Amino acid sequence: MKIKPILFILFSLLGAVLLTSCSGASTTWHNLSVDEELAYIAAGSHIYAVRLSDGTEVWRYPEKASGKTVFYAPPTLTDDGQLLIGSAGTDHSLFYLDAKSGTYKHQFEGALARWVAAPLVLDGYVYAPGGDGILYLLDMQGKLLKSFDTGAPLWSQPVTDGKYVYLAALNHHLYALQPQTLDIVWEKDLGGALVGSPVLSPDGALYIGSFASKVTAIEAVSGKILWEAPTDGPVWSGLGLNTDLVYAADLKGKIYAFDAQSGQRRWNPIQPDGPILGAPLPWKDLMIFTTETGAVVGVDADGKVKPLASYQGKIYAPAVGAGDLVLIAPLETDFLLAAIDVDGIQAWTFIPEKK
Amino acid sequence: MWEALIITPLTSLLLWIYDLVGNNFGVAIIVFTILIRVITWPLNAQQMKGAAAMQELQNDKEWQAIQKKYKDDREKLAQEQMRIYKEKGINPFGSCLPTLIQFPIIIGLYQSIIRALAATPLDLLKLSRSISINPDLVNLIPLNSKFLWMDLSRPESINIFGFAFPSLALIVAITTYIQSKLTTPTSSNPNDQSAAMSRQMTIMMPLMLGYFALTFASGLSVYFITSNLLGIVQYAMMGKANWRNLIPGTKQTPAK
Repeated sequence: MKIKPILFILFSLLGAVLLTSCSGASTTWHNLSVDEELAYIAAGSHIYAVRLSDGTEVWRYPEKASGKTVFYAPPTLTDDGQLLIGSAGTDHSLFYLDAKSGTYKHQFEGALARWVAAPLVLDGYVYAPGGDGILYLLDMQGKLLKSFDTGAPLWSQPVTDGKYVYLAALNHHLYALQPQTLDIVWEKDLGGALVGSPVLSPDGALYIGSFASKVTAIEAVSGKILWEAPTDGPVWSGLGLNTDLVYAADLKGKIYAFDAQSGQRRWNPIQPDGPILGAPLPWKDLMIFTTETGAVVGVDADGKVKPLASYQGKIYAPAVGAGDLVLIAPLETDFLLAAIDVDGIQAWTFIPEKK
Repeated sequence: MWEALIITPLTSLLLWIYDLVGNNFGVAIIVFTILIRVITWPLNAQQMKGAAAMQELQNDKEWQAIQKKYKDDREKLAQEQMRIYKEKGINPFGSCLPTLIQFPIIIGLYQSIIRALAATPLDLLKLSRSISINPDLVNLIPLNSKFLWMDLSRPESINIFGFAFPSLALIVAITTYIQSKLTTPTSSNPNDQSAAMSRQMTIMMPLMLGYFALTFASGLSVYFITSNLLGIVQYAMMGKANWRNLIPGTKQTPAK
């Protein structure tokens, strides 16, 4: 009978483990950004700076993993050499690091929830979209200047044409805001959650996909809807823009090309592989898509698919271009980052050294 | 299998209720918990009866006598225990089997609530798959997680003079304690190990669930509280609640 208390404790621990697993230790996936020399990959406990020429580690932040900070949001590089990245851990901090050395510089601690999206930097101000639904306007030292509460999580980087800041929210709304004042210029309910960033065209149109299974084109200056085109499944990712074509992909794994002016489908949807969550990368004559099932494919303007690479793991993050290389950050592989060339030949992989 | 049989149906049901009650996730969790509690009512009743019968057996003279008589002969003791079970019509697993059956449902409930809240990209991805068979539900995303003063996707606290007071965790702990006290039959047998175990659970369960409420999304706390209150109501309706056990210093009375 003495075993019963032990069983009870074990039962309690099992409950705790099950509940902890419910809350999800891993909440999202790796993301990266690049400059001329380095790739910066947010990969859980650390951000790694990796040399583009050979895939070697230059620095990591923090040196020792902390239980509070977890990095998944795409890092943002600033003109003054800083790297901004929010923590998806329990501390909810936005870190300002020196991009060359990985040295800590500043920190903003006022957010109420984890960071999923990358901040936008415009004219020396940081527009940081929080998982708590608040767009924080910060200075380059992490000081809070103003905020705008949308009431729903913000998971995508705002974009700008220099005139307004365009912000997509999970609450179905796309906002055009005045820079610095964050006053609303216009807002549109697009009927479904907006997870990916809008894409801006040089002629002043915004294109965005939504969970309402459609792609919408909007006049950036006025918020007037130019056209809407249906997709078969919810659109998670941002869109790709290449000359006169808007590329979109949905959670069913279908890829679409719409005429940028009219919204007409240029060709029938193609379905090269699994669901697509990452925004497409315009690269040379191709639009490069990554799929959850580990494939990297290029699609040309005629809808012809060129398989580039295939990995055993899952790929949720978009491909990122770095000169002649395309960088891929899969999950569940023994490396964090792979660089491939135009023919899909692997240039290098990055495996962090154990410290 | 788990996904298809438990999580997807429960999540779809939760979202359907959410839609029905006017996009209020707090009310949806309460209605959802009531519904699940009603469905599992017979199992709960069987568990409560089984637990009470087992506890009453500890006060039985014949039971106590065989414990003494065969304390050094485990095989004979087991035979005699089985005989008494048979004579009194007690199923020794009557109290734990329903719990075992309910355990996956409870874990599934937690997971459905967390998934429906979709506070992270991976959760949203899973949610979009869970409800992909019904495109109308996709348009409900994201769920309105505000309920009363709470954001159900985050642990709750009330700011009192600059101090973050976890009021919901406290209510979870108190209601769990009340339920445990009301539903735990007492034993007059000082050597009754299972009664000692029940006393430990009366303390440990509120602490454990209170800790969970402190740490996890407050949507779970709403579920805990609703479930505890319904458990108390059910026990009271069965005439098994020992209300006197709640009064400190009162001599505890066995369940009827």
